[in-house]
Amino acid sequence: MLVVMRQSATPEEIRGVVAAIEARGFKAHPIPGAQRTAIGITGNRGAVDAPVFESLPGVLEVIPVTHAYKLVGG
Amino acid sequence: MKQAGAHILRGGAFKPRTSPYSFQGLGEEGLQILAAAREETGLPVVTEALDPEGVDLIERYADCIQIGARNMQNFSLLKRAGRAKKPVLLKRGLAATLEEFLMSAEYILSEGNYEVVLCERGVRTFSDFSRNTLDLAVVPAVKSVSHLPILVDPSHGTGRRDKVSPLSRAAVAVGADGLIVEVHHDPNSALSDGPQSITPEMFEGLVRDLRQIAPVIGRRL
Repeated sequence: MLVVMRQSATPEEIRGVVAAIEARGFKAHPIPGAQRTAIGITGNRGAVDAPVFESLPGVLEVIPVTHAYKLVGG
Repeated sequence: MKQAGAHILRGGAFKPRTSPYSFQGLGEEGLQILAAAREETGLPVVTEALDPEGVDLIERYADCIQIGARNMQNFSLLKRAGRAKKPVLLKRGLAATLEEFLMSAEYILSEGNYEVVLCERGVRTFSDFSRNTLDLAVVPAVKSVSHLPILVDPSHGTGRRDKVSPLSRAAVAVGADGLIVEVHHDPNSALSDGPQSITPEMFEGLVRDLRQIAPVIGRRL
């Protein structure tokens, strides 16, 4: 899953998202870009609950990287 | 059918007809007839279960449990099929996206039944010359993300006898793992889906053609 921050996101807001990711036991990978920061999430075994992150301050959108199906893709 | 090259027999004992006045299938008697056909020919049988309660009966008589297009998102039925000890044939819903189709299969696998075979049977589009639009492109699409086998039903997919053979040939060429073809010895007298059913003679001819096409893509009928 990738959390994409708004261009206007503050460093505090970015830290807030990182903290929320780590609080769930996952690893946060901030990817600073020229226009905005994206934060990758790894360490999750199942699907991550997108709405939880979507509602954090400064978040523009949450993009799932893997498909929702796990077993049929074997 | 077996002589012509068929491997499995499909028949509807419990039929999800659009109209309550249409022939609903022979029920358990139909299952017994299918079992007798298996006895005589050695062909395994697949038939549709309409609801979770019906799965018990189908599991007893048939070799494979079909879940029809209209039931593709009947989640309690999918879960019950996931607890069954027989393979499940899952048909794509009338307007199901690829993701919805695969998530329905995921329901079945997640309950413990990994023996799922998918089937493309045509989807609803604006196109009005045909009962459904057979979405052959879904075959390579499924194969790129899933290991599950996928069959094609050119009979329901087109609704017309004269389209069954061309679409069957295309289905083999596109890489389908099998076909479900409606055959009737006297389609004009069929109680259900006569217009899309082909005769045994047509079926024989079709299989002969398909045997020629399959090797082109490295498959064999």
